[in-house]
Amino acid sequence: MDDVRAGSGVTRLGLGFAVGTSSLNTYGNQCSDVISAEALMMTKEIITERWGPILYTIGDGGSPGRCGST
Amino acid sequence: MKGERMGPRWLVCVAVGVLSAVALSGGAVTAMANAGGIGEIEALSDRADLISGGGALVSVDLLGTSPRAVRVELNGRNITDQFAVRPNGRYQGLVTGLREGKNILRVRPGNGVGRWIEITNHPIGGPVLSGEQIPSSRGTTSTSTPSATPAASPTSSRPWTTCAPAPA
Repeated sequence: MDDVRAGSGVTRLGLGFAVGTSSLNTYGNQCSDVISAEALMMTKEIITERWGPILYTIGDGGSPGRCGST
Repeated sequence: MKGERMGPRWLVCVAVGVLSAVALSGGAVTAMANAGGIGEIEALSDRADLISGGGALVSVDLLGTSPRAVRVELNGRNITDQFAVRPNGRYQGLVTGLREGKNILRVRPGNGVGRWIEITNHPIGGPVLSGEQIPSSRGTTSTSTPSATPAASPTSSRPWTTCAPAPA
């Protein structure tokens, strides 16, 4: 399998990755880590109910992306 | 003391040890009971007490019980047709129609007792774990106008919310 870190986003979508977000899981909105965690949790729940269980969740962004991943 | 027989004290210690062993093994047997052929019921979309929006993806370990012999009930209502063995090999279903608050999902082998889990459902707008939400302000009873003194301010008790003055 190709290294998923390389290649285009289309490649990664084809490999089973998905992109999902909610306005409240973005730290810049509300800037509450509790609300962001809750919004992320609820978004993952919707994705799981529609497309199946999630193996990995990867946060995107700088410091907030790392915080969101945690 | 040296030379003194242990006697009754020793017997008591042994008796306590035996009773403890029996009690522990009894508890272990109960914990490992497979509830009449049904294994673990697992909520996949989120932890069972953190569900929101009225639906949850649930997987059941059938422990070899035939899927045709299984009955799934949500709060007493038969929802077996929402479950089936999926391409990933798991007996799985999307449970819908959860009411707000606590729900009981029970999986029975035939008419057996089976096993159940409690699913707690929350509104899709939250809150789930973030606590009471601050209600949005809908304007104030203040009738201040731009010509009023600059010190006049909306009567909201939460000064960080933006309020539109109530229509005159």
